[in-house]
Formats: sequence, structure tokens, C-alpha cells
Amino acid sequence: MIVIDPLRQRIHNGLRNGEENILNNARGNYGNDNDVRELLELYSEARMNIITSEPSYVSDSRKYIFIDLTPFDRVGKIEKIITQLNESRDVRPVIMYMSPAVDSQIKAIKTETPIICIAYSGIGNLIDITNGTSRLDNNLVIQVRRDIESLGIENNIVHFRRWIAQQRLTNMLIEGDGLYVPVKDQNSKTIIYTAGRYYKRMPNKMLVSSYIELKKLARNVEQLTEVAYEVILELACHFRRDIDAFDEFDVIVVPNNTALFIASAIQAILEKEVIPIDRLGPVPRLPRQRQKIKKMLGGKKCVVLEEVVATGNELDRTVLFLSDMDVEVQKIIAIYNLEVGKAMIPEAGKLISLCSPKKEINYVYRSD
Amino acid sequence: MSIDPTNISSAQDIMEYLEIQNEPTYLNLKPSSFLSTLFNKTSEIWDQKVYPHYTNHDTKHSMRIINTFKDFEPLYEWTNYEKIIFVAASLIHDIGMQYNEWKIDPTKFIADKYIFFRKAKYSEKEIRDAHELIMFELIWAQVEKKFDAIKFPPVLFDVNNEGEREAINMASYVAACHRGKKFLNLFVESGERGTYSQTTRDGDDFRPRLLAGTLRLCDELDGSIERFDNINKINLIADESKKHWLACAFVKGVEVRVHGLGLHNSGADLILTWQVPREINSQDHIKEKLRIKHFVEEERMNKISNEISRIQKFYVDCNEHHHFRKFKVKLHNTEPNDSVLDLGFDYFDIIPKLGYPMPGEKTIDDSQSEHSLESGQVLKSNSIETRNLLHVQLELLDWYERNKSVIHTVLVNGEHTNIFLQLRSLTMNQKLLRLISDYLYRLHRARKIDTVMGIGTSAIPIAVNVAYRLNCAATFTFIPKYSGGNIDEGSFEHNPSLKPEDNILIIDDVISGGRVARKIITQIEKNYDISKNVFYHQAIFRLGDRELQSNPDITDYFQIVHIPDVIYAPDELNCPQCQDGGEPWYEIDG
Repeated sequence: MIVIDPLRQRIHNGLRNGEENILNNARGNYGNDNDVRELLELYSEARMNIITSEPSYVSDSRKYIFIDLTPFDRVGKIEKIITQLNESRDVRPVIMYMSPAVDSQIKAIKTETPIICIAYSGIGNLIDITNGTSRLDNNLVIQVRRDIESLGIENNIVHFRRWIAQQRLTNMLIEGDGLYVPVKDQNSKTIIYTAGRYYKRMPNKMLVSSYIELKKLARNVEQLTEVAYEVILELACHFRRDIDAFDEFDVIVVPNNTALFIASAIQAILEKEVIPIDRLGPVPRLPRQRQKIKKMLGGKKCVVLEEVVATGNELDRTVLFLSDMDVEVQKIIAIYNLEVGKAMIPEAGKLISLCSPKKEINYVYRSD
Repeated sequence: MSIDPTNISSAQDIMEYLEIQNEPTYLNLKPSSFLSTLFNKTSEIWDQKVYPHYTNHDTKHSMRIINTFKDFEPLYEWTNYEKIIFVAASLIHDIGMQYNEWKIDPTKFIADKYIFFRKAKYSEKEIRDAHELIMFELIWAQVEKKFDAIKFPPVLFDVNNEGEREAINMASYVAACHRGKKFLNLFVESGERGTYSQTTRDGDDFRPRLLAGTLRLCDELDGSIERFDNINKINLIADESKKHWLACAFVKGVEVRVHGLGLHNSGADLILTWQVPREINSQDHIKEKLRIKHFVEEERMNKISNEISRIQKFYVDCNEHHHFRKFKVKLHNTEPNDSVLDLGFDYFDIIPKLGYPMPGEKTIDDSQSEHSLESGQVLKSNSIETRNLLHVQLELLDWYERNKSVIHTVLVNGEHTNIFLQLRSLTMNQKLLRLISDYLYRLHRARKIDTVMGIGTSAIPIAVNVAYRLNCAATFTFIPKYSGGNIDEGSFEHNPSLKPEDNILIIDDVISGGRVARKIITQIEKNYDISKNVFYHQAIFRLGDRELQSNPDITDYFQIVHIPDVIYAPDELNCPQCQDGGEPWYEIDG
């Protein structure tokens, strides 16, 4: 499934231009000529990818691309956007939205080809998938409904977006140069061959079948925005309209430099403070910086951002340290969770993993 | 209430305006007597102006300076003695401009310390360029009672009153700081226990360095149409003064609006009200208004901002950072009014000839500046980069003042410092990061940067912001402190994943001796063919004056803010390392 996120593109432009208040501006003012042009370009590119990747004998009536307009309360030039997107007959747009105002805007549009829409309620529940009256469109609506149901997830924007995040972030690992896989190297003392495959020996002496190099993956700032956007969706509770999600935490805490790297983009977008508490040892005390960090953090509500969770040990140390600092942990977001172990200290339900690629990358963590 | 400069008749008016108490003060100085004599005698000096075509430097100028001094009162809470000294300094600071009217016997001033009084007359340029030193020598000569050598000007104070001698002497030092660097350097070099350091007089604070900085700022702010006695005399002005003269003509006045009183970031907005004369052809109104605005921005706003930056640096150099306030210069446009009359010439043609095209028009200077960037030299000019740099520097200095800890600390690497910077609080400040990255973007955008590499931890957010602006790749590395600074090349954490063909901009938060820079470059050297790559190193803070370790692979290096004076760790009785006489220096924990 392909989802185009106009908000993400707008955020990326805001970062490129060094703007203030990027997220609010992007959500509040979407739909100028530049936005329309970029959306059409993205759609055209995605459409070409679909067309060129499938054999020509496959029926073309069931191809579609989601356009996620759920973050927006209003969309400028929406008639122009939808009319032009709808000109594509071989790959159809499916418009996702949440706002009643966007619903009114869409219903006011008269097009030759009916518009396929997925409407969500203010708390993110799927209300309906609507269409026009032609037989061709009925088939497409049925197809979309079946495809979503086949995911085996609840009919809610949160679950749907999390499913998309899982696919996206896994693809980024594999296609985006973010996964290091050890291969034969006679000059290296840390590449070990055992049980039929190569492993990398880590500083803690354990062997891993691969290593997620998020630093390398996010080197490309467009991919960095993509990763940051998935985190922001979680922080925003997928833009549910019944809560002000960004009021529920004060700061973002990161336990290492790579998480800080990702969080720096998030800080630039949300203008929420990011505080690194790296170099926590086995007994997390940080004696020198304690007073200063306590002054920065004490009494605040935080979200912890981990770039990769494997055994959960780093997460345990982080949460323990924060508890000692009198900090309330609202949420823990792990971009990748390799599910090797389980963090014991965080409260149940607080950890959200955006992508668990253990099965897809056949990840193994073992001793000699 | 402000003083009407055209309606001052006595020192008493000034004393009432500034609420100067008349009780005898330090060394039996009687304020009313002292200031009255000074006011009357300086008025005599200005009776016949030597250069009537210049912007006025007489008592009216002094009164406007005193006006602005009073506007700053909420920020500084001037004491009685400070007010007296400042009034005195304002009255005398420009009297040197009248030198050619004075009756001085040069033969009586052959001693080395008198430089200017060895000649009876000087050229207009010589006078203009050294008038603060001329004033200083006059006061000196009068304090030394060389009355037989000076027939005019009259004696400006009661030479038999110790308090007045002390006061005029101090005022002359403050006044001499209003121009150039010589006396500012004197104040800096006087050291912590020097004569010009903050002290008390009669139980009240006395802050001569603050007075010096304030006089300098107030003098710079008095650049408006009110400086003109005869506005039509521009043709008599030397070319190098024309720009300044003309820029003043378009400024109606400066208003000081203080803010943030009681908070650590108190300061003032300095609002330049500028106007376009009535003669503008209405069809070209907008275009010419833009041209004049650009001109005023460069000649007035930029100069005032430069001066603020210079003064703030002066306070830092003197170790009196607490005088630092947030000053911001703003423009405000007003409609033309009768105060701007026919200038008698077509100034619209003059402005472009002085080097001010319309915004967006290219000049030779612009193309030279692009060339300078390509060859890796830092652009130094009154350009938008300079203004951005000043803005960034002021914000960073302000941050530095609020976030440094002055405590004796032994760092994790065993070194000592008496200044500890919590740089995490800088990188949490997105507004500051945006400012820094905007400046770095402007500086480097003409270069072909492929990757921005931040040196962790604190420079990572800066590197990310800059990479977005430059639309290039971002990465980071760091120097581990616990392992003696050795980099594990096989470590994923340290490996910045550079590509062999990358041109790299390295960003570090603090540089002192360049040791970290050397380690980073050594690491890169091992993995890439550096003869093909270009490395730039940009630091946010440079601390101290320790000589940077030379490294030929850093093609250029520069810092945004330099905090001078090597910060030696003070002797700490309980610190065994200090006891052993180990040589302390410092490194900032990232």
C-alpha cells in the first residue's frame, strides 16, 4: 500500500527554509500553489512506480494510492488537487480525511470521475469508505475495504498508520542503506562465522546477524524527515481532534547520540525541547550532570525516544534514571524494536514500537 | 520628561532633570558648583564653531546624549556620582573638535606624554580623527595646572578642589572612550583591581566602564536630523563623511524602549524613526523609499548594531559581563514632515554613487564577495552576513552569561576549569539553533558542501539544522572522554559514514586548543583521500587565547563567538592538582 503524506512534504520544506513553527504552519496553511504542484509530482512518481512494477496483464482497476489529508482541518485549492489527481484512471487516488470542514469541501466538488474517500471521526475511527455510483468505482471501494480488512487491524487511523509505519520503516532499512549485514572479511576480527551464517561481534561480546545503522539511513535528510514524521504522528496521536496531544508532554528525552540525531529534526519541527542524557553507565547516575539535568527535567512530563531497542537494557537504565530525577514518563517511542529482550522497568503499555523488523530481517542476537 | 536641547540655560536644569542630589560627595565634590562651571566654560568653547558645516558636536549634542542616558536609567539605576561623571563626560567629549580655535603654546608641551599639543593647528581630518585625544590632553594639562601654556579654553573646573580634579579626570577617561579603541583597551588592561573597575564612591556603586560604554552608545544613537545646524552644506563635507551625514538626514530620531525589567534578559529596543523627504516624485515613491531604507539600514542600523556589539565585547573583555543588556535596533517609518526641508541637491543620485544600489541590484562588491566565499575566505564587510553575525553573537553572548557556572571543576578528563558551560541548554533552544544555522547557511551556501558533520553531543542538533538548510547529508561523530579520547574505528557509533568524495563542513560546539579538531581530522585522514576533499571547521564558541594547534588539513577555521582571556582555574586550596602546581586549562563538557 502506498500512502502519500502531504504534511510530511510540507514539513520538509519548512526545515529546508529554516522556518519557525513548522508543524502549525504546515497544518494551518496547506494548499498553496507550491503544495499542489509538489503533491501532483509525488503522486505522478508513485503512480509510475506502481505501473512499472506490475506486469501489464494484471487488471488496472484495483490500483490506488492513499492521500492522507487527516492532519488538516482545511485544505486550500482542494478542488484543483482532487480534480487533477482524479484524472489518473489507471491508478486512483483514495483521499483520507478526518475534518468535517474537509468533508464539506470534498462534497462540494463536482468531478466527472467520482472521488473515493475514507472518512475518519475526530477520535480516529473509520466512519465510511465512500464512492460514486459507477460499477467501476464500486469495485474499487470494495477492493479498498477488503485490503484494509485483510491487514487484520482495527478500523482506526492509528492502527492503519502504524501498519504503514511498519512497512515503510522496514523498506527503508532494506532499500535505504540502513542495515549492515556482516559478510566474509578475513581482515576483520569482529566478523564471526557460526551456525551457517556470519555475525558481527558487538562491544558487549554478543553476536548479531545484522545491525541497524539509523545514522547512515538518516544521513539523507529526506529520509531523516520520513523517520521523524512517523515519530511525530505518534506524538500527535495521529492528530486526533479530541485531545491536544502535544500538551501531554513537555520535553523529549534521548539516551544516545543517534536518538539525538533523529530528535533534532523533531525539535526543529515541533519546537519541543530535546534533552540528551547519554552516557548512562550500568548504574545510571551521571553524577556530574545530575543537578543540572534535574533542574532541566525535574517535575516535567517527558517522552523517551529510542532509536533501536534490542534487549531493553538501555531503556531500563533511562527510565530508572528519569524516575530518580522526578520526571514523569508519558510515553516511550522506539523507532525500531528488535524484540530480543523486554524492558522490565517501564510501565506496561507505555512503549510504542514503530517498526519490529525482526522477522523481516531474520534477526538473531546470540552469544558464542 | 526630556530636555529640549535648544532650551537649556544652566547646569541646574540638567541637575533637576537627572535628579542629581546637590550634597557634597566623593572628596568634597560639590555637584552644582562643578557642573555649573563645566557647563558655562564648555559653552564658551562652542561659541564660534570651527566647522559649522559638520553635524553639531556642541552642548545640544551633549543634551541629547544625556536624554538617552536618562532613558537607560531603568536598566542600570544610575547612582548620584555616576550621573555627575556622565554629565561631565558628555559636556567635554567633543570639545577637541574646536582645537584650531584654542590658544595654546606648543613649546610648553614638549614632554612625551603630550602628543597633540605640540602643534598649534591641525588639518580638519587630523582633528576629526583624534578629537577625543585632544580633549584628553586638555584636561590633563589643566589638572597639571599648565595655565601659562593655555590661554583658551578657560579652566573647566576648580583646580584647588580635590573632588573636582578627581571627577574631571575620571570624566575625561570616560569621554575619551567614545571614539576609537585606545582608551577602551586601557580600561580592559587595567585589570580586575584597576582604576576603572567597578567600585563604590560614597557608598554607591560607581561603574566607570559602564559609563564609558553607555556614552559610546548614546553618542552613536545621536545620528539624526537634529545634528544639523545648516542642512544645505553637504558639499562642504569630505566624501568619507557624506554617507554618515546623509544617513543622519533621513533619521528623525531614536527612541529607547526598555523591556524585561527585573528579568535576566532585560534590554531595550532602539527604534530609529526614519523618513523620506517630501521632494520624492510620487510615481517613483516606492522605489526611492526602498533605496533610502536600504541606505539607512546600512549606514545607521548597521553602525549602531556594530557599536552595540563592540560595547558588549568590551564588557566581556573587562570581566564586567553583568553590564550586558539585550539591545535591538529597529526601524520605524514615519510620514515626511516639515523638519526635512529642501536639501538643496538631488540626493537620489548621490546615494547610488556612495555605493548603495537598490536591494537586489548587483554591484562589483557583491561579485567580489561571492568570489571570496568560493576561495574560502571569510567575508568581512558591512553586509547582511555581518549583520547576521552580530545578531548571532549577541544572542550567544547573552546565552553564555546566563548559562555559565563559575565554579572550580575537575572535568572527567582530569583537567581543571573555572567556567563550566552546560551546552545542552543551548541545543534545547530551537530559536537559538535556528539563528546559528541561518548564519552558517548564509556563510557556506556558495560552497559545495556534501555533508555536515556534527561533533557530538552538543553540535549534533546544530549539524542537523544546517544540513537541512544546505540541503546536504548530515552525520555525526564524537570523541569519547572515558577512553582517553581514542576512537574505536570499528564502532558504528563513531563512524560518521562519510563518502570518499564528500566535501565536509565540521561543526563543533566549543574549540579551545583545537585538539578535538585534530583528532577528527586524523580519523578522516585514515579513511579518505584528503587531497580531494575540502574540510571546513566551524565552532560556535572559542574559549580563551590558547594557540590553536596547527593542522594543514583544516582549510579554514573560524568561530562565531570568542570569549577571550584564558580562563585559568583559580587556585583551589583543597584541590590536590592545583596544589601540585599542575597547569590548568579547560575543556567544556559537551
